[in-house]
Amino acid sequence: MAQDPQSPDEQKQPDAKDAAAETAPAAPEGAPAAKAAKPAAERPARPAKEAEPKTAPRETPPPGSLNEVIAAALPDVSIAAAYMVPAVSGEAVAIELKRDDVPAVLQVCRDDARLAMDYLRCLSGVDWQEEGLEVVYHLWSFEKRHELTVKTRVTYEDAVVPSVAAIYPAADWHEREARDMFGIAFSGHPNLVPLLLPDDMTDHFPLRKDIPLQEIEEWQGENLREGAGEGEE
Amino acid sequence: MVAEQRPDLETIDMPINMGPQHPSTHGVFRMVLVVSGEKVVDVTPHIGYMHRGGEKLMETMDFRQGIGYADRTEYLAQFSAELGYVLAVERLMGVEVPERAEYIRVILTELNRLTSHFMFAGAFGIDSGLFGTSMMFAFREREFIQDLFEEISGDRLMYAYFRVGGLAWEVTDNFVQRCHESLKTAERGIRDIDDLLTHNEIFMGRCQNIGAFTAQQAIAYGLSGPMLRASGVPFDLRKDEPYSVYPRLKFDIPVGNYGDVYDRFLVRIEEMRQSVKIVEQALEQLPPEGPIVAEKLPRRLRTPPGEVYAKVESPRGEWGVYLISKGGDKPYRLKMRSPSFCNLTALREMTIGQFLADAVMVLGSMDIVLCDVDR
Amino acid sequence: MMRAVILAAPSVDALDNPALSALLGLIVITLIMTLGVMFATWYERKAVARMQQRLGPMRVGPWGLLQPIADTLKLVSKEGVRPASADRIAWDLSLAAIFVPAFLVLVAIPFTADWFVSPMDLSLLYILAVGGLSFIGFLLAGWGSDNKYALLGGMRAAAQLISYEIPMILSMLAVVMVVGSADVYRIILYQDVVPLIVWQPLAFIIFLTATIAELERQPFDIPTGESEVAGGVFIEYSGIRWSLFQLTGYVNMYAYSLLGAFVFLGGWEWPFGTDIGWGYQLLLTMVKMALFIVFFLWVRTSFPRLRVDQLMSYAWKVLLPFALAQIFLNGLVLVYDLPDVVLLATSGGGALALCWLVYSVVRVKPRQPLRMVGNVPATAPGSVSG
Repeated sequence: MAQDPQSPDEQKQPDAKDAAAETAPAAPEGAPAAKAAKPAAERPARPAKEAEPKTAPRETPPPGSLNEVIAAALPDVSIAAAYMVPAVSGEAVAIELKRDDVPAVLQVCRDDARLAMDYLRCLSGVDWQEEGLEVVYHLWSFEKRHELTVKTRVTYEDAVVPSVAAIYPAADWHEREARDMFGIAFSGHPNLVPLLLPDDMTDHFPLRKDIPLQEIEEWQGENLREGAGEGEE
Repeated sequence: MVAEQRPDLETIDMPINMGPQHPSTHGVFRMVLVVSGEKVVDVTPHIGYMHRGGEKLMETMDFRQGIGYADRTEYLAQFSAELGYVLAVERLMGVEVPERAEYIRVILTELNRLTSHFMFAGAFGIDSGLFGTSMMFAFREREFIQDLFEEISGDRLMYAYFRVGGLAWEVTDNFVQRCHESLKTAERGIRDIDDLLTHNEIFMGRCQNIGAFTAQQAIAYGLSGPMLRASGVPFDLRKDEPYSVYPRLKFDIPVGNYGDVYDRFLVRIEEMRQSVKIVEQALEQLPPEGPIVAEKLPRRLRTPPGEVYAKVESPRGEWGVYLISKGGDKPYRLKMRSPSFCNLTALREMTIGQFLADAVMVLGSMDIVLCDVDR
Repeated sequence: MMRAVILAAPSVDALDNPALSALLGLIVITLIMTLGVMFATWYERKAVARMQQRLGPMRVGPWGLLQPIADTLKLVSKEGVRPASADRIAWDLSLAAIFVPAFLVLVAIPFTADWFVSPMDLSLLYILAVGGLSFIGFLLAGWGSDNKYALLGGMRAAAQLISYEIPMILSMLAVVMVVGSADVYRIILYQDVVPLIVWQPLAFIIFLTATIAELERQPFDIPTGESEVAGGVFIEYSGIRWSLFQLTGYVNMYAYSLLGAFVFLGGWEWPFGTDIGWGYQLLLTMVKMALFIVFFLWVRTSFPRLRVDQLMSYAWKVLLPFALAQIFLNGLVLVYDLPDVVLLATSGGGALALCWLVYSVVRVKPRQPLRMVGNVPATAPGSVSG
């Protein structure tokens, strides 16, 4: 079963106007209402390397936002979390779903007249290490001119997400790419063969975090440490 | 004369391997065409020859080094790629960019759009079988603009001139004058290419009604940029989700009616004219003095944890950067939503049923950059 | 001296043995043509470069004049690669099948009033017949290379050459009807006052178009289209073999340009008559031939390539009916013995109709211009749901 949509460390973006400071103001650690329901036990403890906060409160979408429209259209689907993420200007709604709900929600997003999200602009895989793999869908509506970010999480052991290529043909190659890079199998995809990688390279997922670019990182650690880069412009 | 039915002489479709070394695949792109005579019955695109794991590489680069890699990804619209990347970081950091830097960014990005579309027009002429004339006309003017870029950034191809929060350094003293000169030559180049191709009977005959996509198809396949606009969707990120100083500039978006190869060509030619207009306005509004980089930026750029999806209108379409940061000076995950990659998705649908020669035209009309496709 | 050799016509009696004299004439004309082709490659590169606002070859010799020599040396010294799976017989035979007819055509061409290898009564027929043989070579090369591009190119070449042969021969037939002879010499002499282009403009246009197609030059370079079949039949040939193919192409260009100059522009006859001496005649011939060549280059730099179906429909649906109409009209004029002006009127009218037809077919459906959208609703994206 889809693992619990453990909250990643998205953070409310400080408003651009008051953020000339180099780091974002430290946000309180308290969880907002949107993710209060999640079991805190599954959160892996990550030691804070720096004083900066690793997690931050998320802003709950204002009433009447897209997540409520989706919830109204699909009463069976539970939206695990809904919060705002920064867009180029303003902010957009992001929702987290269980993986089996993704096709149904995206179908509604495309077909429901209130949502009319006819454009899948991007589909990304993300490796959250201990917290599993994530697939992020960025949707856009030409008619309503709003955008929505849909996220779903799976575990490494059971990295299968239902394909949405039948709903959005644009997802076809994106899903193949995500399979290449993260090993996320998209069930129901018409042609899930390697796209960017060689045809026989089906067991090696280069963008996963467990394949670090060791040499480069070591070199950078030695040569680009803070203070060592004084000579740079 | 009736051919005897012999099972060993069965008529089969012939697969043709086009690329990765082929004059008209615009780089190391390979498509396996299955042709029945001259008609294409199936296409299998193969990409990934240039895949360098760019997204992984950028995870190991800090926010300033990543700018250089953005150049190397989208090597025909470098400024657009840089802009998308720095916009993402700026939005995450909450940096306010000085006005002068914003204007210079817009000027350079639009000039870059000119060079990119010149490249398209030249290469597209060759795809259509013209013996290099369009290429020569286009490159003549493209050189002038590239000289300007070189004067400013010190490099002809990999500019790495934008910085998070502004620009790397001040532009040259004669920047405005040089821009005006470049625009003048660019206008001449646009006119020459327009005269050469737009009303050329053979060119029209070759381009019209080829690879046509309706607006619904274009949206479903996630096309963007001129490909989408040619299909009749008036969508341009500079207007729809404005960034930088674009809301202050007056320009029109050309939108096609037929969605075919010819409309894509026309849209790009018209976009070049609009870019000239944009640059002229931006040059007028450009503050003569002022800072070019945000103040109080740390030496080591760090973002707070968070995610952002920044997008700019590159000459090829929506150049999106999905940036996830866990804090620190490097992206945790960086996904480049490259317009070439997304537009190429539609190749199969557009090509099947066309002639072999049209497959080349359709591919040319996508104006892909293979580095951008493979990343 | 050279004159005496080439002038192997029986009337001149330069050599007693007609077979020997013909052989000598062939050798000399092959050598001269090869040199001429080298010049033509240089000129083509220079002229095309001019039209494209660049310089062309400049490094080897003054104005790059020695460039073709360098090219030839390079091509001859290059390794000739043959694919292991090639059909050896077809592979090698194709060369001869393309190369030989191109030079055989030159045998019947009267360069001046008394400069030709071999006179014949049906020289025009001979030229068209021998010149039309080359498609066999293209087919052989396409098949023998064992390459799909080459095969496609060979098929395209065969289809194109056969298709365009017909309107070209018919346009020539129209001229032959007017003149009353299929001898190129007689056709030239007929044009002492008015060249045939005046009486037969439609036939001239058809001839010109079909010639470009026969030469496989842009916009009819479909068999060798670089951006589609990447060289077509020549894709597997390299070194000396490839250069022989190129040589043949240029020899054909000379031959057809000469033919056009003789049949439609009056050759060495018009406008100065036969008595001006062979030097001037040769010059006149060369100038008229150059007009054709420059036209070919001009077209080459200005037009994209036709698609294969457009190519075919243009030959069969446009050029062929007009060529037949030209013959029919000429027949009417000849049968009823109408004045020559009627020839001009009918043929000129036909030419105009042809131009109008081509123009209007391409623009059959007037297209709407682009819409210019100035104000997309610039609503801020975000959580505001509709």
